[in-house]
Amino acid sequence: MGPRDGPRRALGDPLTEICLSDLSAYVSHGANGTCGPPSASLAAAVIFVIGLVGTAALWRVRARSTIALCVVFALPGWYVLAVRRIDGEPAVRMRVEVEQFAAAHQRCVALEPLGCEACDPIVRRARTPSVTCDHPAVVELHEGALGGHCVAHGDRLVCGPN
Amino acid sequence: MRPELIALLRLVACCVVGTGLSRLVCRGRAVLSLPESGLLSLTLCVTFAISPWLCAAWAAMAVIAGIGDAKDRNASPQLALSLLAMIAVLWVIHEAEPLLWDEHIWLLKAKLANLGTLRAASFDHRSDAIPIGYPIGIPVMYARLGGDAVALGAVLVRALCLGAFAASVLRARPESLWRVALVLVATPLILMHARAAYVDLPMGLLSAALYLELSAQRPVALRAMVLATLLATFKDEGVAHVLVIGVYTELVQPRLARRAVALALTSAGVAFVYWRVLLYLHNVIPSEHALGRPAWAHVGSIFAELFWHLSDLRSFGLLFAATVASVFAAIWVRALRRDAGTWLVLLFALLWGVIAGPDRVREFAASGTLLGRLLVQLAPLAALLVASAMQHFSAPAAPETLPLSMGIAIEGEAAVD
Repeated sequence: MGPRDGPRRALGDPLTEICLSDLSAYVSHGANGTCGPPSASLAAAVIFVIGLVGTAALWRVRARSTIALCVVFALPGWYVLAVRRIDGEPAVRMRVEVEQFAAAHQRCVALEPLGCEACDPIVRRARTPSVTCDHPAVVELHEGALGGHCVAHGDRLVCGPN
Repeated sequence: MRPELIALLRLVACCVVGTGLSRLVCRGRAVLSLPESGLLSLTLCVTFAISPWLCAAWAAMAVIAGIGDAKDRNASPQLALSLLAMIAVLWVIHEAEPLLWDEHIWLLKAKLANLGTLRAASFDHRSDAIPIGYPIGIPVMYARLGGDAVALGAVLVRALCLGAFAASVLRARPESLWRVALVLVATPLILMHARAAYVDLPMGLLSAALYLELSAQRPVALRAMVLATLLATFKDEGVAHVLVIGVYTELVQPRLARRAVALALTSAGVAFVYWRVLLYLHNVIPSEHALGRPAWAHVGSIFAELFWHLSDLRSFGLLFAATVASVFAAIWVRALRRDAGTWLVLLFALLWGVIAGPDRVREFAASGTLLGRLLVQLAPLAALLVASAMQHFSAPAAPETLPLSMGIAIEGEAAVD
């Protein structure tokens, strides 16, 4: 379903803002909107009404041009998709480190979320398949872990900011 | 052997087996296109993963469907090259390393499906690996096609769903194919979902394909069964798609598609109910998707949230503004009413799930993580509606004032032989 109660992103200029450039926000909200979930915005409402009226007007004079209007309205979204560059390397590194840790502990690993919400699905996937046991090794997920490193201390893998 | 090659070989095997089976039950007639044949094989895999009994029941229904479909004279368009092109495009644009939240969850489930433990994990209260109680259709498909490379399996599943949708458009509205394709490409969030291992876009594509199938003059029951069953096993709201499209079809054109509607509803219903019975037997209560008393006090905020999603320029471009314009146009233009009505009823059915669902679902909606994805599920149907409106207004002589039965006859003539 996605993150449990992620903070709403404030909508800036709907034409020029480059959004979700942070990996944590991208993991949590990237599928909910090209720039994450939208917020109430008068500009967006006005553009929607212009689109609606423009489409209806085009149908009366030249319906074939609706595709051109679709393309014009898609430009801001395409621009965001084209220029947004997410460095996913920290997420990959974390997944690999947790996978190695889980393998070294016979896949008996428990998660201890300590503030890194976006780490949750990555680490869950990394430790799967997991087995239940009496004394599992623990993966600590501290706030900011997605941009940092994981360090093993015996039966604990501590993931946090550098 | 390289995992990419293994995944492609699995896809070829699925398509070949599906083609063989469909020809067997339809007495040699080619009623399924190549992507639909692949989906037929995967439907059998999915039902078998839920229960061999369900698979046997589904196969029996497919034989019944095939007996009637054998009389169908409309061959299905063969899309071998198009399917390869779709795979190539999706392969190039897909995210090499999945990053988005639910991608990890779906791929995790696919990993479990590969290990043969997904069904058990879905009932296991003690396990914190995955949320329990959710349908298992799509991860089983990812696993069957991708093997260990489940992310590649997800690419191939998306390609098959896209292929099935394209085949449906080619059969029902060949003149609209490019318009539909361009409208979808001009929807940035659709491109985003085409890259990712999410379920919403495949659901939307299958839902629109089911709508086109049941709107046809002579629908093929086997196709409708495959599409409906997969929808019901992807996500709980898939059943809402099948119910709305099936019941609406029966209301709009009574008797014309009754056999296909009945088999589609039955096959999807059996798969859904069987899964729910299994959940009940394992004491799993899917409370997250349970419907209860409507929260009328939240209706205003839900519709406001819906408006902000519809008007999200960077996600949906012109798509939903043009869709709303088409819905208004349908008040005067008879030829658009059926598309517009289906889209609108489906939208309200999905919103009803939010209004009458548990508080948790409304919290998701309020935090912006739900309605955008429901709109992705509705996007292919919306693109069909917008393309129809464009087609209608481009050709003033279109059957604006003709009775519905004439419209259907014209649609039937346009089907690909």
